[in-house]
Amino acid sequence: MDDVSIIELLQKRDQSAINELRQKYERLCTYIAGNVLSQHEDVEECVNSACYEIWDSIPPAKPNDLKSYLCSVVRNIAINRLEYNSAAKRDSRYTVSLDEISECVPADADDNITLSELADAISRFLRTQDELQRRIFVRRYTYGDSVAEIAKRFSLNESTVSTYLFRTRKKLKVFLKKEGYDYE
Amino acid sequence: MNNNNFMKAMSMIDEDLVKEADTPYTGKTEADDTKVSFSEDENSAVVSGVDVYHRNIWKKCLGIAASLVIVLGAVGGGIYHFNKMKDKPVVNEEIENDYASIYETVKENKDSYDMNEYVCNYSSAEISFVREANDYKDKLFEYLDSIEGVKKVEEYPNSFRCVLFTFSDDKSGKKYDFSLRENGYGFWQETNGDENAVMTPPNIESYYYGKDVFEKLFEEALNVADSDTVEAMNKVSQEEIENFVTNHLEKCDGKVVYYPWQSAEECEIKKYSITDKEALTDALMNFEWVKIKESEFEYYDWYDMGIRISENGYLMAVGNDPDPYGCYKLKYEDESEKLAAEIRSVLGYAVDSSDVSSEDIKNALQELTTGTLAQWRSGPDYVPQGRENYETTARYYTLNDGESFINEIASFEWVTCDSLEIDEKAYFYDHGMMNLKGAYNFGITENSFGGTGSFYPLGYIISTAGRFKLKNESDAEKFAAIFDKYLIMEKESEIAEKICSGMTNYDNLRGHFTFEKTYGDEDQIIDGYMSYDAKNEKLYMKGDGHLFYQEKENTIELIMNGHDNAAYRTVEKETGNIDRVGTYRYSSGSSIPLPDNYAYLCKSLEKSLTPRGFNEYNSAKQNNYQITESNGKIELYSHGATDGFYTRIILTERGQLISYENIGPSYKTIFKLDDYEFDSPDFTMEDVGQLYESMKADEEEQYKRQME
Repeated sequence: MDDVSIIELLQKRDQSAINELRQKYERLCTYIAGNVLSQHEDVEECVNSACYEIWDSIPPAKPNDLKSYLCSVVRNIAINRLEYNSAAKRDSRYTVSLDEISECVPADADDNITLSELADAISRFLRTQDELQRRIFVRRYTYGDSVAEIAKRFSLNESTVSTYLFRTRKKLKVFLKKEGYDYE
Repeated sequence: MNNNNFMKAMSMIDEDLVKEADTPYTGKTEADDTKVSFSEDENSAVVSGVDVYHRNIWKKCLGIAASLVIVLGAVGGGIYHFNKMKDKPVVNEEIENDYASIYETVKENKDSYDMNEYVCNYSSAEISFVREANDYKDKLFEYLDSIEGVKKVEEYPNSFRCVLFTFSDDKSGKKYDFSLRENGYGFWQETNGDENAVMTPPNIESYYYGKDVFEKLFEEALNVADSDTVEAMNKVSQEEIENFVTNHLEKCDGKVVYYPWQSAEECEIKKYSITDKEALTDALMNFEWVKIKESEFEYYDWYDMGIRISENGYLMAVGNDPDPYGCYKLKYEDESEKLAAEIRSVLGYAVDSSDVSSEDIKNALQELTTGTLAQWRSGPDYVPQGRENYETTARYYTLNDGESFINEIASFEWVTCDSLEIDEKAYFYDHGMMNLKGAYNFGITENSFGGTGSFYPLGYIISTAGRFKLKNESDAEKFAAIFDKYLIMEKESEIAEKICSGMTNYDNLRGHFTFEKTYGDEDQIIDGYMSYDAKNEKLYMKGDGHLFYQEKENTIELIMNGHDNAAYRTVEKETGNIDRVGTYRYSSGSSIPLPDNYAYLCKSLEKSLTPRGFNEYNSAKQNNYQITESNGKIELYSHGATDGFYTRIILTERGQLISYENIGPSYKTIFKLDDYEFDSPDFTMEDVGQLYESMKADEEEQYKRQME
């Protein structure tokens, strides 16, 4: 079933929408959650929660792209779960090392920053970047792909991917500083 | 903000960006076509250590650096795919100054180029600008010219770090760079503005300069770099270790050679096999490492297994041109024990076990017949400077019913065994010294025991036909029990057993003693009283007399402060001065004979009856003791070769020494205990611990005075 039809079912509060959503996107959701969580039970629970969050949020939300919307939801749930498990930093399944991204993280206290504003700033920054480097950055830090997977996807060698990520992180930091975010 | 919240923000970016990343990319990504575009924002200084006002140059240099990475990728198949590289470079020729090489071209025109210096760590994708280095140009070329033995090469193996010098002339548009790698290889290339072009000869020339050259230039660069750059360059990422270890282990055949520290003999080197390469890789990745120079590698108990790794935490590649190159040490030294344990956990023995038939075992042991002599030996397997080690034990048996013995041995399931496994299982180390857990050595060959076979009750056999071990470890107990069944202890060994157990199988002893020894013209005599706490091995003997080489009358104290822990002190009666004092063990060597106390005398008797060496055993057998028991005492008597020479030992039924006489042509030892009492209920004795410390202090004082 196409995404438009699934969204229609959701808006009609037809519960078959969940089955359709699962059938189409369960594997993708499992992949994204699996990039964050190590325990299979947690991944399953995360996917379940994502499906029901979609059910709860649509309507009123009207995502233009259901797939992307779903991916964001799944990832957020997975990260929340990870925080709950308090195992994030030593979990080897979390393919993105938190140390890797730490240089981009503003030093402001959490309550001074709204995530949506930060996400918006990051989006604006990414639009100014070269398409390839932008895609690589999003694959890494939104989808949670490993460097090896990204290299394979774009037919690059891993060192090139690492270099691109490195440079983009540096540029993002500069950008966010100009946007007014504090860094130590 | 915490990192997780930042990640959440990343998952909330615009949908179209998320969607874009999931759609097929149709842009070009091949190394020779990719245009790496930089932010057009002129204010973005993207790498730490960059001076903002040099951003234009930096932007172009970043391009060079990027193309450097891409070139490496193109030529080498990527830093992380080293197996695509050939193992050895093709060495062409020494450099000749007869054509305009890129190096020569740059050198000749160096004054027209601006030179910048960078350092790179590809394992963490770090490319750091160090400085504008125009002032350094002359010195660099002078140094490069001075290097002897630089060789031109066609290909080279990979490594993770490099020092990069860029040369650019804005007027002519000429651009070159020189990159020198951690493994000593370097190349000169002409880029001419197309940072993303893949260089091929003649626009690239590769040479081998030497690792020391890299180390020198790298160190010089880091000396002027900021601390972030230094840290970034020395950082060893998990990916680096993973790639390094994986690549080398994949190429190795699984054989391991272990070189113990200070091993000088071939026999000291041990051979194993790797049982699980993946587990070893995972284990090594879990440690933190730092980069070091090859010269800093410390050879201490190291293994060669495709990589060279030492138990004190050093890791490097092996071979002349390892691919990839690397040299590291543990960031935290106190993790070395854990590292050693991880290494050992993946080691197996080099020889695979195969089943051995019952017939083969019987054939291997066929020389064992009824009456074969067997020596049991256990304890320290080395001879100290003085006497035999206190703990070393030997006992002698004869084999009864050899055929049945062999049949029972052969009834177990056996497999072939690596000699190293027997060495490691049958011995243990105590304070660095090798100890045998215990073995029966059957038969004699070339004046030593074990000619027909050695049996280890743990479940191993060494025979002339091979080395075997029990297939099922659970059979070890039954295997050990066979020896009790078929071996008959010789009478001297039985007495030795009695004396040995007699040293501690009671509570206390006190009595009067005389102890006389004569050797040649020298003698010692002590007449006094002793108290012995047998269970705790605490002994106090005090008497009047003199030791060997003492001319004056002394008050002599001999003590034992626990197991094999003796001390003595003699005080001249006339002056009250300490003449001799010292702490010692049974096997301590000394230029002046150390006095035997009661416990050591008993031990020496036990060992005289059951000496470890073959020649000593033969000699002892000649004593041919007659053993009689009467009135609750055991007497051993051996008549000497000549009338008047004899040995007589008198023990209690339970093995305690009462009297010992050993009279020979030029020597005499007589010990007699009388007016004695065993296990007295009101037994008391001096504080031997305090006396020991006092004697120890006196010994140190005497030593200091002698040194002055």
